[in-house]
Amino acid sequence: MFFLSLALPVFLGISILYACRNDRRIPTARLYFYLALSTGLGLGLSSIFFFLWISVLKATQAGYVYFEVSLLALALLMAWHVRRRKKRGEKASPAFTGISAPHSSRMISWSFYILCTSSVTSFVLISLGNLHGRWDAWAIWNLRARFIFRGGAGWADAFTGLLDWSHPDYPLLLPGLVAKCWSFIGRETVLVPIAISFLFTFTTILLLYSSLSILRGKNRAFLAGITLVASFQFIRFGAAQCADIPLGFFILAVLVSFAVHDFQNVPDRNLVILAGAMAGISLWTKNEGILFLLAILAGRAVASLGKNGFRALIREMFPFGKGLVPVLAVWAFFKLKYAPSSDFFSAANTGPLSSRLTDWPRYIQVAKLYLGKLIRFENGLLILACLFLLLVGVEKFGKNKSRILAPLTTLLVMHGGYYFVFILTPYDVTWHINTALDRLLLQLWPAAIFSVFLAAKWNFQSKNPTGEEERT
Amino acid sequence: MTRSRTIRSYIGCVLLIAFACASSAVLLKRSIAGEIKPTFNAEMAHLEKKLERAKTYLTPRGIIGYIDDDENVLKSAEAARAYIMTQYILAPLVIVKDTDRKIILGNFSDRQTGIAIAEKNGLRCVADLGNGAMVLQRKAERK
Repeated sequence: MFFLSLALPVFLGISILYACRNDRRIPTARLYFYLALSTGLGLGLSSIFFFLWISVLKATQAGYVYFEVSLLALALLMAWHVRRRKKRGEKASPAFTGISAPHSSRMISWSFYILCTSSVTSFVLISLGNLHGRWDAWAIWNLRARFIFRGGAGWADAFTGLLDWSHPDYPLLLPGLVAKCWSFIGRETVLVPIAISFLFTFTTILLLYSSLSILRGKNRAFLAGITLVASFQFIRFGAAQCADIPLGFFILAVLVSFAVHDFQNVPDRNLVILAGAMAGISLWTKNEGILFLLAILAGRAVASLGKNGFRALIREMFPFGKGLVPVLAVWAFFKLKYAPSSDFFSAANTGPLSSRLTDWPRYIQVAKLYLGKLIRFENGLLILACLFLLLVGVEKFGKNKSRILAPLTTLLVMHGGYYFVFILTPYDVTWHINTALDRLLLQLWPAAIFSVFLAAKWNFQSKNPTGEEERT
Repeated sequence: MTRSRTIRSYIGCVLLIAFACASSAVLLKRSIAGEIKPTFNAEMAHLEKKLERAKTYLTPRGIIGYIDDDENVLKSAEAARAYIMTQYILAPLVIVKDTDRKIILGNFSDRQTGIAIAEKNGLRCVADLGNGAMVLQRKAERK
């Protein structure tokens, strides 16, 4: 049952994406790309459906297993039906603008595989040493999962304002998913949050690799994968059972879905719908998802500059909204009916907000602390990635320039948002930055690596299987 | 121009791989040595054992109070950790850090300290769970 509790949502995601894809034959990189997206989508939807099951239908948690099995059967049936209808009108896999040679250097690919093995080992060892996760995991996420699972009909006690230190306003992706798996199994086990964390951590790496492999060729994809898989804090926090790495996955998922859509010669509306759904699930993961939604809109506004401007943006927002609105509605239902007000805003209201806004030395203090954290982030790996970009240069993309700038704009808006959160924080600013910023930066880290390797000008010789040298 | 770019690409690539290998090796070494702190397995197991009997005296749901050695709970990191762990272990019972409740859970370092603090706060011990854990109740107020 343990395996089934996680496999069902993954298969649900696969069936949905299988029905939606437009290409006939799927190359390996695209297969990994779909697999990574399916995993995130399936896990996200499973958490949302479980929440609706216990909140709207007020049904017993144990009965959810039958609902999810029926849901999967329905999705498989739909996938089969849609594929049958599409079969005649199918197109070949779409071509991409600016894609380089598909073969990879052995040195890079083997480094990636070795580092992956090392990181998996580290992840397992860290998890064994922290069976309940880090502080935030048992004080917030797993605590909420226990409330839901153990609470039975009284599961909503999880959101009592008496436990404001445990942020009862945080959305339910992780607690819902963990409680759902426990209800499948019929008992609590620490293996569930560990396995969920493992899935999100390594699926993020797979998504980064596969998306860049589609867009920029294997060498860049492997090198980007190496940068992420060797990130000390990424693996450490991955095993922490907190929601920052899952949020990082969904942020990356939105950016890569849009990037693949932008770079395809034949735009794929389904990818935009998927991006909308992933943006919605990011809201369902952590409150930072609200800021991300604004940031992604800013990013898309920049991307639309290269197309038909504002009209293209509006046209794109329809399919994006199709994916986003259903999840947004569930999120709004949770926030209005169950979540107490955020401790951040409650505390902020009690303090002089305007005085913090006009406290100019505070801006400099926050900027200094923020930059210091950025420089030291991942032991300087971020700086090294920037140095790498300076060394190899940035691609001249011509009409694709705005498409490259779109993810960068999103990331810049996110950083701007985080900066202002620290300006407005009612807590001691040094304490707040020291305890929170590393995790916030980790949420953006996979997307930052993606942006760097998407923009990098790359000139690397490798041999293809026939022994011919090719530049990638 | 192309050659110089190729060389720069090689340098960039080698730098990244070298850094990644070093970072991964350090993480692996520290994980094997169990140096990735903090780990709470032992502390959690100890507290779970300490509170095991409490579950028989407490209702599975509802709200109870909480008191410990450090009466100013959440001011010291250790006290805060013990309180939050207690909440984690006893969920879905809601544990509030005050003594104005019908039932109060005492989590003290030892029995003597617990009795003294309970007395000082006008509480009486209903059940001594051992290892400094106690179920307490407010004494009836005398007029």
